[in-house]
Amino acid sequence: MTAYILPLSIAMIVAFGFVKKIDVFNSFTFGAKEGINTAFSIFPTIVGLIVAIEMFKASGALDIFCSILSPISNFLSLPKEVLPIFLIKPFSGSGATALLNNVLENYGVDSFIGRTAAIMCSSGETTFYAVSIYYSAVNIKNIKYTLFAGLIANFASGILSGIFSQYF
Amino acid sequence: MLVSVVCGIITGNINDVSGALFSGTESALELFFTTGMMMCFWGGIMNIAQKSGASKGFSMLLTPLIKVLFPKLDINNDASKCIAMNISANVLGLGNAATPFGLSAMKELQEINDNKDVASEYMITFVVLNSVSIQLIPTTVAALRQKYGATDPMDITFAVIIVSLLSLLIAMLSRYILYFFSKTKRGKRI
Repeated sequence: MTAYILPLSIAMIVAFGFVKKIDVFNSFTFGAKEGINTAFSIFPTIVGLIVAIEMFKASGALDIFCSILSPISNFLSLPKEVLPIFLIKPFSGSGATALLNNVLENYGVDSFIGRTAAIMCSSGETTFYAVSIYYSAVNIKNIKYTLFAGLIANFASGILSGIFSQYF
Repeated sequence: MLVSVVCGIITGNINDVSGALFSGTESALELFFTTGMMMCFWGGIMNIAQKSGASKGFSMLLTPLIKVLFPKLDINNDASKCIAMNISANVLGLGNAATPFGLSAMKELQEINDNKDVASEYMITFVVLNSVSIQLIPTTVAALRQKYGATDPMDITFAVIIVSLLSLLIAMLSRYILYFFSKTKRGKRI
């Protein structure tokens, strides 16, 4: 189903442009040029963020953080095997998906651990990524409480996934 | 990064850390190519939609939602249109398409921002909205679950939607609590 959405919406937009008799191709190239400028403006942010995450994972810092947090996860009845996903998700979507892959392979897809990990992975968002690219594109220096509110959302979705995977 | 280097030295993983330096830059370049080209392409498509007036009609559909989340924002402003496109791309799970719309929305919001260095209240709401998952169908995860032979790969959908909505609610609540907190602390309107 989802395979149809993108091509159809593009076709509709282009067709609508023709109906309204605007210069479709010129509009496209003009917008595309702006798009690539935006992409360049956020490139430094992407490099910094991704390298930092890769180093964080490779250094074993992730494992250390997980073992520090495991008493808290016990308290919240969250399986400790999903903690790496909980920690990586705010930074990197693909990183979290890779970790989910491991969890499903090792602990089974229909197990409590597997389901919690899956729900956590799809109900959280990459907060740090969103905050850094959106603000760096417009050169905002003071983001006030954006990051805090975003991380509260991540935290909530992590805890709630554990609760809801038991009942649904 | 400092933490990573220190941890790498302590745990003896420092070789992996320097390896990550290279693999990290490589995957950053990869991400840049895919998302950058997506932004280029969608920038073009979006411009057609804007010129032809299609995006205006589209944002009308989401007007009630935008009115609630962004009170007092002019619905005919380009920012509202970009926000509408961003929200709908996110709901459909088209993350790559959502980012370019979101970036244009930020640019439009910056135009009407009084202080160009400080995030406006609209921007905060918008970025928080983008740091919460509002995807309707968890396609990527469902595909992974299918791969490992889940009895019903989609049966997490209901739980995912509830968890997402609750965390969205919590995020927005905490966002407004923090807003009133900072307002009273400074003793004046911001």
